[in-house]
Amino acid sequence: MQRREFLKLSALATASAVAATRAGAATSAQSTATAGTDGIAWDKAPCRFCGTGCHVRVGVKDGKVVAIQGDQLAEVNKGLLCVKGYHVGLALYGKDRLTTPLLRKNGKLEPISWDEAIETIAKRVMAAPDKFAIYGSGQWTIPEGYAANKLMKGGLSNNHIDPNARLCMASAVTGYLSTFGVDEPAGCYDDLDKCDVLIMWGNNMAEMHPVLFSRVIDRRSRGEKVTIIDIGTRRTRTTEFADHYLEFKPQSDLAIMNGIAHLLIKNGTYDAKFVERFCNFRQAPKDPTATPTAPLIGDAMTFDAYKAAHEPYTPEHVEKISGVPAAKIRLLGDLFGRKDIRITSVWCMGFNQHSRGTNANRLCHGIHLLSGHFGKPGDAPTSLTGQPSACGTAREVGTMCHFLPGGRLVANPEHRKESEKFWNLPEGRINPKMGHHTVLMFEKFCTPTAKGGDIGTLWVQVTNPGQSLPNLHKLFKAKRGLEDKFLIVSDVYQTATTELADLVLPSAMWVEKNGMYGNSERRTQQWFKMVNPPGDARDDCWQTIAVARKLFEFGHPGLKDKDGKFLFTIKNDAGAEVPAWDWKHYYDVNVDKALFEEYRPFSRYKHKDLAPYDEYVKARGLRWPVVQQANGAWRETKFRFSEFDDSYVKKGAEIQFYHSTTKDDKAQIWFAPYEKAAEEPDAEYPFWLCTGRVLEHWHTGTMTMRIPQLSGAMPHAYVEMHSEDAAERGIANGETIVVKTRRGELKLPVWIDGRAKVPRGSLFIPFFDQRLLVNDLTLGEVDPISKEPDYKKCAATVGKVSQAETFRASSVEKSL
Amino acid sequence: MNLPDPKLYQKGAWLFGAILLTASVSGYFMGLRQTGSQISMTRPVSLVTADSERGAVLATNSVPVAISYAKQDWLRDGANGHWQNHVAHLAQPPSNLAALTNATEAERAVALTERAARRAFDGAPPVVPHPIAQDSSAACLACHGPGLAIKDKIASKISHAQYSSCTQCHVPSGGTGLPASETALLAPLAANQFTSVTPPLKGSRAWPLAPPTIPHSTLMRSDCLSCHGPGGLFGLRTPHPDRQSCVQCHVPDAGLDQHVFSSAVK
Repeated sequence: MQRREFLKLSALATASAVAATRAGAATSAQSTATAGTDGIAWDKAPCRFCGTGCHVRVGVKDGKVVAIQGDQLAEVNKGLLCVKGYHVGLALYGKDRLTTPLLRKNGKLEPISWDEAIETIAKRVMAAPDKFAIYGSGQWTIPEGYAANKLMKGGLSNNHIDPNARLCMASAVTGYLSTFGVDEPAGCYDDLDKCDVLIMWGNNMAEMHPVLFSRVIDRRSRGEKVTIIDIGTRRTRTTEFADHYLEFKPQSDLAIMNGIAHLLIKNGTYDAKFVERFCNFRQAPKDPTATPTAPLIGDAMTFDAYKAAHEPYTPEHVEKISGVPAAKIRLLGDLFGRKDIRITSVWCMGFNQHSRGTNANRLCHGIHLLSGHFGKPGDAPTSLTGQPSACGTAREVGTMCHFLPGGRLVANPEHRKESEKFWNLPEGRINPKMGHHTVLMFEKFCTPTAKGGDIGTLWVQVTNPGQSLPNLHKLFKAKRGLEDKFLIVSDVYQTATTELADLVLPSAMWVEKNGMYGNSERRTQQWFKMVNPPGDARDDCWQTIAVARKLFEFGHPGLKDKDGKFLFTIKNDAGAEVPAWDWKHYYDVNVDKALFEEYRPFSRYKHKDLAPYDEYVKARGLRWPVVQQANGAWRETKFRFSEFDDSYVKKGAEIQFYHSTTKDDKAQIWFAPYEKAAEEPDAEYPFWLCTGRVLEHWHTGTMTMRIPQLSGAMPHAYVEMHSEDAAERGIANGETIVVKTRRGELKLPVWIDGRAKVPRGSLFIPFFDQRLLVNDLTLGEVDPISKEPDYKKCAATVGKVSQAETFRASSVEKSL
Repeated sequence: MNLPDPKLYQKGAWLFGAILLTASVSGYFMGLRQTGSQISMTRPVSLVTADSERGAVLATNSVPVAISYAKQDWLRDGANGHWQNHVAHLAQPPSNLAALTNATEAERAVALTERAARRAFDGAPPVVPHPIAQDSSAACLACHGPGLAIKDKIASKISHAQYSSCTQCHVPSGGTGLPASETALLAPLAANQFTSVTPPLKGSRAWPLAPPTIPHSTLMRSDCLSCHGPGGLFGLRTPHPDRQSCVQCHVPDAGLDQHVFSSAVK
């Protein structure tokens, strides 16, 4: 036998073995797995962690993930990963995986059957359908988010569904919407390969988006020149690679961007032609409550008024506000004024978790539009996401309390009507009233019913609000003792959230189920189930459908479409209905494919066209709009609104913002003033406290803290402090100190000149450690437009801890 | 006392001049011929002054020659003497390539165990077995850029020099290096039950003297000598680093699935 034939045969054998654990015959034919003679079958999947959307190759042997490789075919990462990505396979194998449903009885979580669990939820919902809420996630797969959204908005006429993306990307959404009339970046990662200047705004890319950062700095290894500018509030690993480091005082990023606009106008270096052809000017509306969308549409502004508004933002004035030398402001002004270079701006939580997050996003788009640094490869303002499907699920499927799928709004009668049509619902089924956004949802859940706490049952899927919400004492821990409140948590491990859960559902994760994600650059990705989940753990999507079916059986009228059929009627290729709510039959059919094909038509309205499911099976993701060509092929779009690449732009238009809020194909350049932070240091609380992430851990550390290589490198949280601030207080490196804000206190070790260096008067604490919850300290204040909290700025003080005290006593809540 | 014959003196001066000229000319060309790399490749340069030279120097009354630092007593007997920090011990002379032989099975096993201990699975980026400069990749490259051997500690040479953000993939195994971390916080939340496949042992040979195949993936390994050169783990070193085109004779093992997915996939 020829070697080639042998390989083919063994590949086939392994593929069919893998397929046995997979969906039915229909999907196994689509298997993308291949196998070598070492018995490892390799298949593709996007990484489970951040929003970069790297593809990994997952090596499976004997029903277990045994190895991971960077996928060389993936355009995003070109074979490279970061340390989290290389170890993503270990996330499945923490010893304490949840394997059976648990119900709290007499204060203790005890095992129950799935039937009992599903029935418990359905009964709670039946008792008070309008007091039920779902808190979801940017880690939901697209079909998971779609199913939950449909159950709530289409089934229960209840808009109390919001994702954790509210804590993460909401300000980016409002920034894009109010500037371009449609969400998500116009550019893509290709800009990183083409830009002459990369500006990172409050963004520690070397640790948070390492693969994208490498994509830029590795250009230097190839002899290319790229100028890297780090505009931040602390020196990080990113700073090491930067040509210029501009350290600004928290919140003054608004002033810096206005300073750039000031210089562009004063020097006459703005792109007058671009602005005249493609832009309008806007400012905050006089009456933001006039219509639901008034804050996003704003009031018109003349160029003269815009000019006048920027008059005060001279480099010297900006220096006074920001602490950045006037010469460096001029450097930025000069760079943006140049027509011979391409500038890409990237940001993440620095702009978004900001009490003026919407404005920060708008101003960044504004300086790119004003200077004409837009719409050419390398010239783009691009927000980066922190979760693998913040874009794909939270933003595109619209699992937020004010959205319907495909960029529609619950407040818009037309949009409701269209959605009802897609879902085959009777007219008027969808509730026109916006639901509670995240912070409000938890506030209401933690408030006694008698005092207006109108959320009684809350189902949390694929996220850990008990650690990631701000001001935890108020927004999460206050639930304790409220007897009539019921918290349901679907997760894979015990978390700070399951601590207070009344019902815990064990979930399948990542390659233990079929899935689809959408990354930061509009790229929709697909993967197949490769291994079985442990014990009795089951897919989140199945859990949602099973509850929906139970409600249908209980006779809830919302679970029927207008023909009386169950809302989640799923058929196989032969057209026969498959009881997907029955776990035994869930993988008889590819439920992901069925739900995705049902969701696809929603995507056309905002020209976010998605390709058929099978196209994603073949690709390492495709960037929408994916448009079918005359020859039948599906073509992705890299640069939106630019004629040379976006087929929705009119011929000859060059640039067309075809979802303009002013309906004239123009983008909006906003003016927004510098305003003070929601809470600033004072005599009593003299430090700025910033929170964030570290390279080794992903968000709340539920997965990464269980991976020895990652927790070994970064075993616990710490507080960064300037050496002189420490010296003044007699604090030594490594000493345990107490950090206090008006909301709480935390004892943890100081790290001076460690991973990063904060300036004097600043502190930084990462939020990954569930034993050291920095969100006991953070502020719940939200951006007035996006409702996203500011995790980056609040006032704090520090003190020494006497030797006798250990931080264990304070970090593990007394109330636990 | 007779003065020397002036003729003889003149003759001697001529002779001396001729010798000097010959020595300097030939020395000049010898110097040209013997480049640094040739010296290091073929003849170990000892930092230690050879005893014979030392003795010779001390026996004459000519200009004193500086004694090697390695020979100075303050290094050997001072307060830090127990550190064994003699330059002679620290900086190893380049390997004598001619003397290299194949590692024994036992030596190979030791090296493979050490290799596996630093990886979650074969193909995972190895963890760093020492504290690191938390904020600087440049610090990593100071040793790992060229590769460095100090006594028995080996800093292997980077085998993918195009990537410059080292800590993106390689993280220390020993925590942050904070001076006084609470032990309670160092304990992991939970154990991990991940099991990997057996790491590669050795390549296969078509017949006893055929060159063995490469038993591991070659993705992102652009310099075989990073691990198999004189700076690699002892049991993994090649006995013939002078032959520089490794893949001329050694090819990836056929059992490895290194091809990039099927052609049906874009």
